[in-house]
Parts: sequence; C-alpha cells; structure tokens
Amino acid sequence: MVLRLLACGSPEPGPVDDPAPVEVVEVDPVRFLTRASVTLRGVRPSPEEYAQAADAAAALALAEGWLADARFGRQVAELWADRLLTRVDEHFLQADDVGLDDEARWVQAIGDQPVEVVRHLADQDLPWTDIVTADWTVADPTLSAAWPLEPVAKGWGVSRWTDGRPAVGLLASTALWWRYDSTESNANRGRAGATTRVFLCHDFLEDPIPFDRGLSLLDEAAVRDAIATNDACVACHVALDPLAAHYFGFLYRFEESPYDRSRYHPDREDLYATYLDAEPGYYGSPSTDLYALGTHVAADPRFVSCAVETVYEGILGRAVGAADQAALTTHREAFLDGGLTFRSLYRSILADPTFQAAEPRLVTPEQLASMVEGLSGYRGAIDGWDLVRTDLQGFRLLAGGVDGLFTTAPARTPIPTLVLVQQRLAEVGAGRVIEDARAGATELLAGVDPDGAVEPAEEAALLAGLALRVTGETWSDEELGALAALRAEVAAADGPAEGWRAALTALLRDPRFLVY
Amino acid sequence: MRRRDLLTLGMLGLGGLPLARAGAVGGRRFVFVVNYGGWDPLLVFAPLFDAEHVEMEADAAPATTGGIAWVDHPDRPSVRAFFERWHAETVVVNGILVPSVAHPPSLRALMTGSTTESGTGDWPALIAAGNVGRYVLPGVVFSGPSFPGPHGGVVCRSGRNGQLDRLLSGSFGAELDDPVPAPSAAAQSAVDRFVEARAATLVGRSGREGELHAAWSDAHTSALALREHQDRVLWGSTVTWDEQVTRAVEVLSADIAACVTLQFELWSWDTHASNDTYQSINFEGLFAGLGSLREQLEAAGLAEDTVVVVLSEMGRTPLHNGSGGRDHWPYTSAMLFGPGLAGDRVVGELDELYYGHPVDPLTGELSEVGETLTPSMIGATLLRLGGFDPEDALPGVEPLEGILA
Repeated sequence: MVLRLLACGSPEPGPVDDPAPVEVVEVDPVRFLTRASVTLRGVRPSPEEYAQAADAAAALALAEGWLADARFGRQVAELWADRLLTRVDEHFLQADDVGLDDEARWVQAIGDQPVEVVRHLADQDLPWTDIVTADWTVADPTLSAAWPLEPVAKGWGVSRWTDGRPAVGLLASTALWWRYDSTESNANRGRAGATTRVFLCHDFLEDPIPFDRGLSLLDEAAVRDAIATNDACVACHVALDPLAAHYFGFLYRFEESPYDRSRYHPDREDLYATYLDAEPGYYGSPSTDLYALGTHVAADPRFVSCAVETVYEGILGRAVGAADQAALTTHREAFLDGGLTFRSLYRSILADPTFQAAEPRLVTPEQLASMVEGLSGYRGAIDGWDLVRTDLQGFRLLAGGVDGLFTTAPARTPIPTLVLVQQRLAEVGAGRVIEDARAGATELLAGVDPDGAVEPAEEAALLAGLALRVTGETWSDEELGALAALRAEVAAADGPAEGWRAALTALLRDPRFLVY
Repeated sequence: MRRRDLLTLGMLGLGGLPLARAGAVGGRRFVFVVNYGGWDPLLVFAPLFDAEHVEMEADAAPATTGGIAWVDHPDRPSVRAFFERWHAETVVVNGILVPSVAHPPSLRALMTGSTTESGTGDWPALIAAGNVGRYVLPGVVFSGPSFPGPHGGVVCRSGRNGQLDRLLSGSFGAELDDPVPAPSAAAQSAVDRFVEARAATLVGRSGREGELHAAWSDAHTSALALREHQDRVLWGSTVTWDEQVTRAVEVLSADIAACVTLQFELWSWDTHASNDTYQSINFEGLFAGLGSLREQLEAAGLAEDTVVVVLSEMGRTPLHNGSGGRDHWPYTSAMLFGPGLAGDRVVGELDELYYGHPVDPLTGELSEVGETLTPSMIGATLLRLGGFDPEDALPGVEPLEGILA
C-alpha cells in the first residue's frame, strides 16, 4: 500500500500562467512510520503500530501522537548534542578537585548539562528562545554539589544559579563555558564564536584568515589598528569583538581554583576595556550585558532559521541545500506560529513530503544504542562511561559519531567499526532479552520459554514479528526459514536459549537495522 | 562495477574514483604524528637567534647537523641525538601558513587544506584510499584527528583504551558494568554467515538504500578481516606514546594498514603560560619518541618504505606574553623523515616579521617570486611521496618537488 502525496516545488503559489510542476511522491507507510518513530522516539515501531498504519491518515496520526511521547525530548536533545559538542572526555578540573569521587559521572554531567537544558525545553514544550533567556537551568546532584546551583536531589531537574549571575539560559552555563574556555589573548572571542555557531549557524572560525604580509603581527598597536580598519580583519572583528565583550564575567583568573572557575564574576565584566578595543554590541547594535545579549540573540531572525536548519539537517541526516529552502521557509513559519516549540517544528516536518519520502539514512550512534535499548531494555556502560556518548571508554567515534575536534563530520555510510559496535550491542542486547525472557520480563519474547521447545507455527509467527519489528520489513518465507535454520543450528550446539539469542542477534545485526 | 569489486581490485581512489598512480613509486607507508595544541618552532626548528623581534629561550643555542640548522638546549638531548643520527633522511619545513589561529579550524586546515569540512578527506585518508585492496584496512587512527571525508570506509579508529580490541575479541560484553556473556564462537560464526548472506540480498536494492547496504557489506568484510588478523596485532590501549608506537609497528608489519595516525602530548602543547618549560618537556619527549619509532621501524624492516610526518596545527608568537606563555601564531613547521625524501635539509624560513618566506616549490629554495607554503602543498607532497598524482585531490596545488629524492 502506498501513500500518495502531492508535493509542490514551492510553498508559494506559482503564477497563474506558469503553474509549478506537481510532483507525485510515493511514500511507503511502513518506512514512513519507521522513520518517524526513530526520529521522534529513538525506537522502531511495534508490529501493532505497523498494523495501525493502514492508510495515510492513520500513519500520520500515529506519528503525530508520538510528539507527546516521553522519549521525544531525548531525541531532540541528542540531535542538538552534535551542535553543542559539549560532551568531551575531560575537563580542566577533575572530580577530586571539587570534592567528588566519581570522575565518569563528573565529566559526563558537565557535558550533558547543556544537552539536558534542550531536553527540558522539548519535554515541557517551552519556546526555543528560553535557551538564551530563561531564568532557570537544569542540574543533577553532581553539578549542584560542585557548582553554585540550587540543590537537585535526583536525576536532572530544574535549578537556578545562586551566585547572582545573569540568568540567561545556556549563556549562563558554566558547563558551556568550560567546554568553550578562553584565555586573556583570546579575550572570549572563542565563546562569541561558539554562540554564533550554535545559535545562529554562523561559524566565524570557518572563515580563512587572509594574513597580510603588509601587516606586522608583532606590532600590537598595528594589529589593533588593523582589526579596526583593515577590511579583511574588520569583516570578522567588527562583529566578533563586541560579542566577545559580553563574556568577561566568565574570565577565570585563577585557573586551578575550583571556586574561581565555578563562579560568575561581576567585577570582571568591564575587563573588555582592557582586552578588547570594543564595547558590548550585537552586529552593529549597542548592547550592555549578558541579559541584553540573550535578548539580541533571541530576536535575531537567524536564531529561528538556524534552529530550523539544525533540526532539519539532523532529521534528514544530510546538509540542507538550495532545493530545501522552500521547505525550510514552511517549517520556519510553522515553528513561529507554534510559539517556537519543538513539537510545532517537528509536526511541520512530519508533514513534509521530503521527510516522508526521504532517501534512507544511517542511524546515529545514539539512535543505535537507543533502538537496542528500546528492544532489549539494555543500555550498557563501561566503568560508568556511556557507550555511545563518550570516547575515553565508549565507542562514539568508532560508531561514526563526532567529537567536534578530532572528528567533525558524522559517518553517513556504515564504517567497519560501526558494524563491529552493532555486532557487540546486538550480542549483549539479545543476551539480555534471553535473561529477561527466563524471568518473563520481556515483551519481545513474551510467552516464550527460551529454554523450552516451541511449535514450528509459533516459532514462525514469532520470528516474523521480530523481523518486522527489528528491520521494518516483512520477511519472505524463505528468509524466515533461513532465520529458523540459524536458530536450530545454534540451539543444537549451545541449547535452545542460545538459539533464540542467535536469531535475535542476527536481526539486530541486520544491515536494515542501521538504516531508516 | 560495485564498490566491493573496486576494493578487491584496489582501484578505489580519491572521491570514489579510480586513483591515478604517478609512477612506479608505490607501497610506501606513512606514520602521521600529530602534536595538537600548537608547538613552538623556536624551541627546535627555527634558530632565529639574531632576529630582532624574536625572544629565544634562555640557554638555547644554535646548532647545525649536516644540512639542518636547529635549536639546541641542554634539557633536550633527545633532539640532538635524533638529528645526529637521522639528519640525512630528515627534512624540516618552516613557515607553513595555516589560515587560522583557532585550534579546530587550524587542525582541519593542516590535515585537509581547508578550514571547513573537506570534500576530499585528510591526507591520511587520501593515502589510505589510494591503497585499498593492498591492505586489510588501509588507514588506522590510534589517536588524534581523522577527517576521512568520503573515505570513512577505509579508515578506522582504534579507540584510546582498547575499544577496538574489545570489539574484535568479544570481550566487550564481559567488560560492561553489567556484564553479558559472549555467545559461543560457533554461534558467532553462524550469525556471521547469516548476516553476510542476508546483506548480499540487500545490496542490489536501488538508490541510496542500495548504497548503504553495499557500504555495510564492505564494512562487514573489513571487520571480519580485522578479526581474522587479531593474532597479529594487539589492539590494546594507546594512551601512551610507547603503546601507540608498538601498535603502529604491528599494524604496519602485518600489512593491515598503509597509513597510521598517532598523537604525541606529554603536557598540553597549548602553552599560553610557561611556554618554554612545557614546550621543552614536550619536544624532548617527542624526539625521544620519534627516535624510538625510527628504531622500531628499522627493527621491523619497515624503515625502507615508511615515511614519518610530524605536524602541529599552528605555531606560537615569537614574543612571550605576561605569563611566560606564547599565544597562537599562524605559521608552523613540519618535519618529515624516511624514504623518498631529499633529506638533510631545511626548506622554508621564518623572516624578520616571523612570517614564512616564499619558496620555489620546484627547488625548495627561498624565492621572492615563490609561494608561501601551505598545508595543501604539504598534502600534495605527501601524495606524491605515496606515489599518487596530487592533481586528483588538490588540483592546481604544487607539491614541494624540491624535497623529493
């Protein structure tokens, strides 16, 4: 059964005498449902959900319902994690520097904090502008014990800074500014660049610097003059330096002091006068402090466009191009009309023919782990380090992810180490399912005694359901027969439970499991 | 013809196209040593004792070994030892302009020629792609950067704490905080066969899905090959330099890779404070480590065909700041040693402004009408050393023919 959608070349009505060509887009509802489910929930649909997608309206309605799923905020947050790039493997101060003993928890909490702010925004359906204006933040027991934050007893919860810093969403986040640290010579330009890259999709750092042999970089006065007058320098610095002037309350003077590095310093706000020939400003408009900066960013038209572009690229798994501009405009309008909530933006994208009929894409490391967890209930960690969000012990880069420094583009096609990660996650996930099945605690093999015998008809039905659930496809009798033969072969050697495990492992290692 | 067929034939090359070999030179292997953070050429590579605007380190002295002028210091005997022993096969390149003074874009530019995401991949990935079919997995990154671009399928990371070993050996499940026993070897083999057969039925699908399944199949083939070579390489921890060198030599000896990437750092190279102290410690350790690498390559019979490329993404200011540090500077140096180089030579120079002096790429001599050295020129030179025509990946970029033997 095929959904047929009419997709126009442009959302704007074409001239009467020159109608835009109408393109008929064919959408496979099973694939659409899989794509929507992985995008919105990080898991694959159940066979029951596939059965409900009998027609176009049902498939779309089902997917729209997932916007209210408890897992939606996590998926939004993980998409933004690859733009925030705050998950690094070490920080200048270690856990024992701040009186804590769990280094893995400490490092991951810092990297996760900005991501968790996004998650809270999405979970609570709050406007995206809160990201740079909110008077709240989020914290967990680790961070609230080490930093000037209202205490949080368990998990991630809303908190507020207690050191009097300007409360401006992530712009006030110690976690963000530890990741994007600065020096006296850098004078917070790196932080300004991080702000524009994350929130405005403008990366000053990508612009090559045309070092002019006529200018002596050794002459401090000449360099300052060039920043103000040399066209090549001015192009960046006229905007960058006034932005950088906002962040001097986060200038750390005593690098190894946990107190100094954890707190905001109002007495240092005016140091821009010492380190920059610029006062706080926002792309030519006067500004004052971080409050004003947050307001400027939130009001910048690029702020909304960048959010839409980031989400669209993240969902489609490719860079947007000129052909996407019409769709981006549509989604931008929907985002604005919906009060800048992620649900309004994702709802608009769900209805986008480009999304519905998009070419298959590779899962992200996070989606792979999330799908395995969704099926097996098992996430896994090594020495407390998450398997796909870290690199020190984890497998983020090996699974095709990015760290923003040593690898800056995610894998778009399967790579050898991703296939190995898939294999091992499949083996442990399937192993956990068998253990749970023995306790009657898994929905995946509900009613099955993994150590007992099974009737051929029951086995066939079970394997068909598993194949659909894991790969998003209905397998042929021949394919199911081969899967049953695999189960029997391993069962004969290692026992029936290992036979089930092998069948489930094979499904989780299927190439289709990495594609949606 | 499918990509897998190209893999078999060793034809897959730059940007997915068959790669043009420039001549008879081939089979050359590479070790990239990346020193992330920005080293200070004034401590070793740039003896500018007479330059008006340059502050040299206390107790440093000019030295010359063979054709290489360098900076000597009593705290760095390993630098002296390295040049004395290996100067004849070593080329120092000074005055490479990296068009940024921020670490991430500078690193990308150093490795790819562009501050933005490269469409072609970095130098190790390009060399790896040109060696597909000759090696199990032509590019291995033990530590440091990897910008493989379209060549992600032929480059793999090992992870710094033995992650690849956990994946290959199957110890993965046992090392989890909540352990899960591994399946039996026989069960694993049975599943391997099943998924291989299943993948074969998927690769014929049309469009993007077919491409993804073909790439999965290729990646699976490489992963199986790596598993089969487990007994020849200990894919363990690569946190320390010695561990990285051991693994690198094993991987090159086993013909698994043509190109490996390592990272060296004892202390941070990003010395905005106490520059001379920490740069000195790092350089002493680096040159001791390079000497050890060279000896191990020799012992493994690899020195005759392995080029070592030592890089850092930026230099540091010629004057100290108020904290005794040096800040970022857009001109850096590089050092290469091994076969195919017209060694015993310094190419390029830092002038009175501490800018790179133009060089004639054909001769490597300073020339007022020459070109400022760039990372792309280094990349083109490395491709030439690898036996490839750099024009394919870097059209219009002139390699430094003058440093090639």
